[in-house]
Amino acid sequence: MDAVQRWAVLHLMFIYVISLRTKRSFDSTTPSLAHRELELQKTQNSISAIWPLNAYLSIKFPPDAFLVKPQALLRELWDMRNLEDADAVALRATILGLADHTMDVDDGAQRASIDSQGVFHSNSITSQTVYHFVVNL
Amino acid sequence: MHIDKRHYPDFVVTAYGQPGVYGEEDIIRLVVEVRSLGRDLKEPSAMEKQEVIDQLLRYLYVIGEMGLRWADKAAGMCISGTEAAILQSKSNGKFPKSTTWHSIYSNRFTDAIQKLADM
Repeated sequence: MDAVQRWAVLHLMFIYVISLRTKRSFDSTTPSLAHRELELQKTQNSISAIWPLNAYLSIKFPPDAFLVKPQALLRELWDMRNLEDADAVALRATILGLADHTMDVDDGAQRASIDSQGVFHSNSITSQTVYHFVVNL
Repeated sequence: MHIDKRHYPDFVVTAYGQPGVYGEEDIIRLVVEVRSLGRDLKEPSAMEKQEVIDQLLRYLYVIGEMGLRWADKAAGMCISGTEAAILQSKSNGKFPKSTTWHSIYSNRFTDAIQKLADM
């Protein structure tokens, strides 16, 4: 028995044990794992179009003159509310006479910084993490 | 992806810019918005297509407000499945009211992209 077979057997055993534990067997009422997987493949959201489009645009707009920026890089440039927050922090620092406006004033929720490239960073990035998909067993 | 995804286009193509008041500013040449097809891969209705066009127009408007608009050459592209609509502003800065969708496999589409890249 080679490694792949052993892995497959262990995997199936794991799924079987999980299905026993959660009392949800592979019957017709609950979608099976394979069924879920098919549904995932059928789900055509804009994410699945992004990688080929990124490659295509990068060829048509070559990197010696252009830069293709996907949505993830636009967060700080286009979010007007974040910019307003940054101004509010700087304004408050000016009013309070703080030397460093990144200093904690209240709860630290508004702590922000702008790096050397002029990119706004907020500490709320973790709260914006969205998973592409979640498998429920 | 972002939670409030209506705030950002899916792509922008920028040309490297000159040093401006706020540092190096890239000039946005093309704004790209990709429409989700949904679970059933149904052909989108005219209203659904108009929605994504409106969304793209809002982004183009924001570029203008931020002062980074590419004068009378602001261009945007919507992608819905294998169809694409390219919006390009006229010389008075306004956009055409009606848009046509072209297949991304057609010469119309590739020629339009090539024209944008050469400008």
